[in-house]
Amino acid sequence: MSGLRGLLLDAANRLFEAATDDEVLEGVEAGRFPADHWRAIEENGLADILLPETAGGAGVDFGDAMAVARAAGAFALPLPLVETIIGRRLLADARLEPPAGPLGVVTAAPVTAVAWPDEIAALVVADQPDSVGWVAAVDVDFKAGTNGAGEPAGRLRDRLAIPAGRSGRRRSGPGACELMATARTAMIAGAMERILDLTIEHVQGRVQFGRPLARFQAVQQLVAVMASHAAVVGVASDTAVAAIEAATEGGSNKACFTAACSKARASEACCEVTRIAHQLHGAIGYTREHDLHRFSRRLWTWRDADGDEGYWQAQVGRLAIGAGGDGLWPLLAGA
Amino acid sequence: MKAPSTHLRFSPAVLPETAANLRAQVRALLEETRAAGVWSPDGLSWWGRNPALSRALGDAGFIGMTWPSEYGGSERSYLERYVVTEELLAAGAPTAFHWFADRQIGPSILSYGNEEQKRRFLPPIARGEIAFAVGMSEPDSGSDLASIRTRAERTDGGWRLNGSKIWTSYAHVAEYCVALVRTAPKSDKRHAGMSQVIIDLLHSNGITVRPIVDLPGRHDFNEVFFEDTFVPDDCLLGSPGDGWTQVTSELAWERSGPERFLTNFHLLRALVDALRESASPAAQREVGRLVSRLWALRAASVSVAAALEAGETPNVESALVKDLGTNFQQEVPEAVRRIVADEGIRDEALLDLLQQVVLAAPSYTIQGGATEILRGIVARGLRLR
Repeated sequence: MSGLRGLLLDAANRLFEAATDDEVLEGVEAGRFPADHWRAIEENGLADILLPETAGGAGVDFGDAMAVARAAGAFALPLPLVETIIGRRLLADARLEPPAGPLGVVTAAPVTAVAWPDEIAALVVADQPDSVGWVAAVDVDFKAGTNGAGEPAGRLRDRLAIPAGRSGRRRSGPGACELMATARTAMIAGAMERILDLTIEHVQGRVQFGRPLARFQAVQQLVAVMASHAAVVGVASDTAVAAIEAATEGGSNKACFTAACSKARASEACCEVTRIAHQLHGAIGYTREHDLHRFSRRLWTWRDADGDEGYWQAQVGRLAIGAGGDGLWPLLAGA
Repeated sequence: MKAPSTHLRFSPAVLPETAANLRAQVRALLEETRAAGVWSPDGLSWWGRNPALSRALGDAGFIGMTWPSEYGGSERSYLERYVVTEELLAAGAPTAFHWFADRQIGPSILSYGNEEQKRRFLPPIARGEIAFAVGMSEPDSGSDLASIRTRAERTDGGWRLNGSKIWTSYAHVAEYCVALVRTAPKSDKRHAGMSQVIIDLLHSNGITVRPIVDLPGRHDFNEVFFEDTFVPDDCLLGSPGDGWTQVTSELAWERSGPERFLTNFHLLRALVDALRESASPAAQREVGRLVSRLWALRAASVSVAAALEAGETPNVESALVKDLGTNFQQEVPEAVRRIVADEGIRDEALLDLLQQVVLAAPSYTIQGGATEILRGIVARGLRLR
């Protein structure tokens, strides 16, 4: 952890809070990109945090960047910030100059839909192990629509062809797929922390049969289960981040297994966490009048993004079966 | 909307650099003793009892690892002990002989025992020579432990014990039992008036041990009756009346350990071996689902271990790990059943193990704190009660 994390998070929380007020989010549902908030985030250097200092980055470590991703999740930030952070880093690693503006990222994991297809400058294409390139968004034939969170999102119709001069070799280290999975896991962890907060607040405040819902054992048990899943996703996220940091320094394929496990676990837990949150909120949680939907809808979108649980479970399963009985424990214990 | 609050603390933890070396030592010891016929995996994992293996582990310094050397310990860190524990579990080694003394009774004696008790009991525990049973539950006191009725009354030079303890695993073969008993009558203060006593099971008067055969048909459980059993003064552990605090202070150590999610790891091992030749995409996903859950549980458990090492008392986090871990352990055999059926697996050894685990599974979420109690503790940690 760099000494900057506290300051960085203070700035991020302040910016994200402003970028997620009711007016902005209603605008997003109507397809309006909150350009001034994006500009403020850019001006504060958040989109460049993973760039080396020589390329204009803040010189923070991967863990700091992922703390920002987690905060983005905790605020349901409707902007392609994490894609831009990772996308710029991938291009910098391949010594490519990134185009100005927000980015989308395509990796080897199945692509669901690219957020803000009309606003991003380019799609970073990193679906091959050792090369990376980019395509200007205007040259991509998107099938326009919205994602489950109500943000504009475009599906890809064709394979992307990278124009000459816009691709480079990626040095070794964690793959784009693992980086995006780890970042998305951090966002899911943040959104789960928020949903837990909202749920605790609701069951403590809502009175039925003459007492707060929190006084009912059946309710307590459900909140405990939900909190357990949220906590384990949180620690899974931290552990995956630590593995990527270790891999960035020394080079290790442990990060691949770890990233796969973390996204598999995070995506899988979304079902139980949102199910319980909605059950306990009752009818008000099933409206646009309460904030819960901002987070539950994003969890349903993010669990599919950058590889859903089935995709990552298959990766983990292949590694586990490949390791065999005697190799299974060393794979898990990392030694 | 501000940044969300942190309700439960799971700081990411890193295992010490000595871990690799320790793993290699444990693996070598297990391999040697196995080759020498000392033990073989019997599917019971840490519930299997093998005095000879425990002796070998004691000789190698793997019991009482964190205790001071003057009491037979190796002065290792708690995280180093964690590494050894998980290696034993991953190998499915039978460790029940020393498990309870190493995990909770030894630490209790170290924390609350007097000098004479520490010198008398800790070195032979660390050598793997004496075994302890745990006397907590009673016929009318399961999850509601504070309602125990076994009482110890003052008598010349000691205490006179009357009552019974139940589910005392291996009391029929253990040398000692540490029991929670009432040393003062019940009062308004629910948790007052209890004390811990060390009972010599082999040489005390008035002890009857009744075997209780468990669901799989094994005899681990017992009901132990005390009839005017004399317990000398020097066998009271800690201060009279502090029993409840002493017992609950060790719960985090008991609950968050890797035995709460690795008990049937051997089944997973056998499964991936059986799938080596061919595995359908569905089987791959299911294996990946189990392994990713196990990986995440281990990360949480290591985090609790690091908090314990740092001197914190993560009781809520431990309850959470035990709840999720034991539920995971119950899911394993069900998932394996589906895979075995879908893939047409006929591996006899795997099927035998599966049957054994199916029969053991109901106990996971009861022993050491039932699911409902654990979730209640988590709810209290979230300030819902």
